[in-house]
Amino acid sequence: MTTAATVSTARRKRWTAMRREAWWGYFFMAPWLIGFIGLTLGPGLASLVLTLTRYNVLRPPEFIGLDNYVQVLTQDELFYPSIARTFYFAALFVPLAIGGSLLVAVLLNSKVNGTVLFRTLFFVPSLVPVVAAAVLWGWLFNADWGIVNQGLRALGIPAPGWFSDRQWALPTLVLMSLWGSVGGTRMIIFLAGLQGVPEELYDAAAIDGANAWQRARHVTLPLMTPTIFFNLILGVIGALQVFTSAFVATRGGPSYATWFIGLHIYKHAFEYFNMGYACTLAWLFAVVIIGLTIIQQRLSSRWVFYYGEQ
Amino acid sequence: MASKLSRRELIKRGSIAATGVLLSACQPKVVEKVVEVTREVEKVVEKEKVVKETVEVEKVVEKEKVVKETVVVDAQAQKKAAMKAEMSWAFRADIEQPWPTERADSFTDMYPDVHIEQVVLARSDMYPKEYAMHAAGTLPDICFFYHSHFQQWRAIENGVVMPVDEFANNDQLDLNEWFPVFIDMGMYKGKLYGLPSWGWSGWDCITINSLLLEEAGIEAPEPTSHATSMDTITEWIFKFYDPPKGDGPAERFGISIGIGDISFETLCRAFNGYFISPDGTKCLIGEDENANQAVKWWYDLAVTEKVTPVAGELAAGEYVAWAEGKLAMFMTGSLGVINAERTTRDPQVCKLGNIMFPTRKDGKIPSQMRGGHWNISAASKNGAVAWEFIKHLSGKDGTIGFNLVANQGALVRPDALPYLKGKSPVYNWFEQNLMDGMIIHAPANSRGSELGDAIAQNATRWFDRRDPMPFEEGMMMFHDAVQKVLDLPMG
Amino acid sequence: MMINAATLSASRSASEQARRRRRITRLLTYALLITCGLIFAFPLFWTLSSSLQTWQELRSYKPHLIPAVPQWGNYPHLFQIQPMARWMLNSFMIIFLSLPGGILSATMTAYAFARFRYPGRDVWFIIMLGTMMIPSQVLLIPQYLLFFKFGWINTYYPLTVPSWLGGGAFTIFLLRQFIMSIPRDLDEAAIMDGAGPIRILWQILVPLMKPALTTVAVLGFLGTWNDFFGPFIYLNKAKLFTAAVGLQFLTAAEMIETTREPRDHLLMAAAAVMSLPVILLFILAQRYFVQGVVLSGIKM
Repeated sequence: MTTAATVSTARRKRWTAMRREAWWGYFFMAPWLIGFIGLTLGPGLASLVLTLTRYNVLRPPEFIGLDNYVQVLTQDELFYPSIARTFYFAALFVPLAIGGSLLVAVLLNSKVNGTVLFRTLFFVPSLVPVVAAAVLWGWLFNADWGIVNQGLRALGIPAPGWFSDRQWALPTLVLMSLWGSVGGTRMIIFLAGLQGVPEELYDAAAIDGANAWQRARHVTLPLMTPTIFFNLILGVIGALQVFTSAFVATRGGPSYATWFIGLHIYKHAFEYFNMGYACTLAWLFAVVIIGLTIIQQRLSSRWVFYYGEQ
Repeated sequence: MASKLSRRELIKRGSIAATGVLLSACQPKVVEKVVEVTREVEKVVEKEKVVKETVEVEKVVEKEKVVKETVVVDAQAQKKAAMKAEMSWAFRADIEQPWPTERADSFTDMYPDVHIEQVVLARSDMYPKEYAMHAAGTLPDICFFYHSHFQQWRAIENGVVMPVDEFANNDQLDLNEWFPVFIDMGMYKGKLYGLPSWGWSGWDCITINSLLLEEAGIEAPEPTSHATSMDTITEWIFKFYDPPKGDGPAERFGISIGIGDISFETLCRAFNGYFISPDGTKCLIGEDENANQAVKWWYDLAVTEKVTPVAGELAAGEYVAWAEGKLAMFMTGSLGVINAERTTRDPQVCKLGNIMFPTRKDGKIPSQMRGGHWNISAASKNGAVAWEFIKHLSGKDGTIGFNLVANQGALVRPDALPYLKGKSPVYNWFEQNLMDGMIIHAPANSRGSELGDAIAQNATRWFDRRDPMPFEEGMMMFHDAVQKVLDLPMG
Repeated sequence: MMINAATLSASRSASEQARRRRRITRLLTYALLITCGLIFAFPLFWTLSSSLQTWQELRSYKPHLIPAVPQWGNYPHLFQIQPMARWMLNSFMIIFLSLPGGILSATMTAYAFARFRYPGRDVWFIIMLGTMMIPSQVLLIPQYLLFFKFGWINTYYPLTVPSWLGGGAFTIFLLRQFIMSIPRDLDEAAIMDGAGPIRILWQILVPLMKPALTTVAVLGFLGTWNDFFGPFIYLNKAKLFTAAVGLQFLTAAEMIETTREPRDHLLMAAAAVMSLPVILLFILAQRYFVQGVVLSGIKM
């Protein structure tokens, strides 16, 4: 019974065990893998190929090389402004949405009565279908007869044009989106994150003489940074893809004020039937999103603090 | 000619020749007969091992003659026997449900072996759906690619719909059953692509609250008169405008003109010009003096004098605003006037009045007829049956039903008008426009969607009175945007 | 420290101050909660109120806070002119067909990522997270073309089958975090007893994952119930529509060429009717829902 033999048997056993584990791992991952290849990778590559074609659905695709890219980057006078507008929307929406959800979650986390009722109330707006919400918002904020402006005028405050005004249309859309999302899943995630902050830390801080505000700043906030980061990434990705609200409420107007890149892609794909061109737009946009997420990930090490991982 | 033709080659040539017969006959009714012919041709070719192409052709021609004869003799019986099909029919959702069901059922009563499945499409995505169905090969036999929505030419150029001239000629259909302009709408490069489904003379008039004229002691013009000048109309707009009391919108606006290709085109025509050139390739606003005058008129009303409402300012829409006395008049067409009639509520506040645009210098009536056809899908295997159904939809009963039951504006047939006149005297007013109206100048590249977006987005900027833009600058911006769309390749 | 009158009164006033501060905080919290509540609730109230008005009231120049006469008849009328009941049933059916698949495949995948070591695992994990970053428009057209090659257009397949192939990246991530938070001791005990990976998953882990699974179910229900785009793109026949898509037949644009009568009041009624099941679901599942998210310990 040489040591070498036992070592090699042991190694072989480990190998078979590893292989078995790998087999099981892939087995359980199989449905997702099939889905990924069939519904994401495959179509993704296909759409990449389509970017090199002119394709109007009615005739077979026609290969045109990099013409689409050239046209998008040099001749499409809506491309860069659409991306700029989309960024503007995200820049307005994301901080307010995260701040708002966090604030509301903090309120709900406090030990007052009726939080369950409020929690349901805050969540309901996220359940209203977008089509209905857009119509609703259009009435409430109608520049002349909407109740909001009537109220503002009664108080002597100048009433903006909301959806009919070029400068105000996008911020109004931000407001509408905030209403529909601040109390939604993001708030629940923040609530969960808050409840995950260990009580001992609050007690320790209280003993050190910290008041509520200081406790929030030095205990809650740092420990919430992972949750904030998570919601930030998802929030930015979601905000940059804004489409349905603009499609239903303003149809891109007035004067392209809410003509986001998501809408631009939709128009070219489903209304103008420039499928190859639309795929090109989508891919260039995807590159932007991925780039942004990577940047956010890199910067995160500076401000995200994981408790328990020193 | 030394090469020996293989059997496969022979059969191939035989079948090609047979297909030629098939296409030349082009009568799906006689499918059975043609198949027989094919077989015969093939047999003949096989027996003779040495084949000269000329010989083949001769033989084929002979057979062809035989086929045609048989058809003539058995036409009627064949027609009845061949009326067997499972078809589908696509239409817009807002065509109210009783009418399609009535049409489908009455057709099945006539031809019990024909079943028609209704495919309802929502207005918001009916064309993308139809194109997608075509690409998937599931486009319903009877479909629609409306002229006035600029879809027709794309559908034709891309082989989505089939011409119906053969059918019409065989039936010796009298196309004068419909107003000529609506038949013209369905023609492209000399062929007809369907029968009129809906149509009205729009836009071509201004609906006015005639109570205001009465109160001012002005005699209201006859609804059919084309004698009112643009100057008079302008005068009335200012006369009936009632400025706002304090903050907020006017007490009564002078006129409302919806932004769209229709309004731009009709206005340009009212001022003796055109918006888009007849060949659909040039934007004449910014180039033609008359067109420029038209838009200057509109600009002055909207931006300089502010007597027109901004989009969204009429919360309840033009019709309700007009019915409640908040709007003196608005531009529309025959269908709009009929709808306005339905909207009037309080006779103390509003009474229906109509002003036609003045006759142009070239004698034409400023108008832009709107309409669309029922088309037959090019891939349909039931072309003949579909044709019968289209005649059923577009015939006298179908058209009357379309108006009365489905509440649509299908003023496409002279013989339907008497029934409608009983419903409302308004139909009388537009008879001449229906006969003499001017056809649309559609973009030659069929890019209607892009055109609509370019107009809507740029015109709202141009006419934005919260942040006004100089007229010339706005006009050139508008011109460039529209011309860019017209310069695109075919859709 | 000497306990004398001075220190006693000092500590008493300190605790009084603390109590007052807490009362102020409580009042402030209530005030903010109520303000937020009003802001969120007002449009909801408006929806309900509009659903009970006539269209003339809605479209008149003076918006009415409360209907003059509540038009309860709007609700049955809605069901008469549109097959709302059918559409809502369709939504339920799609959820019924897709949700179990979504939960099953997401759990399987999360299990693979959480409990097994194998080559490429971390790469696949990053890729999976990466799929969240792809804008849907990139895949939309080819997916559509793929589905019609299968003949799946105008069926429920495009809306249900993808769930069975992995569910969503977000749910996989949530479940993976959750499983990772369950100690391995139980797993190892089961292995000692000779249990295979499937039994471990089914008998050990799944019972402990109830809060997370409830969360996933609720999120999945919500997502599918209100999904507009999917059914919008893939369904052509009215009787197959879901409620979210059906709403578009009630918007202002649908009225332009007919009787000119808007149906906004019915749109609001439809929105109210549509929101009801999900609100009920949320109320019932609330506790599990929040717990599920908490225990998964969302950290990146």
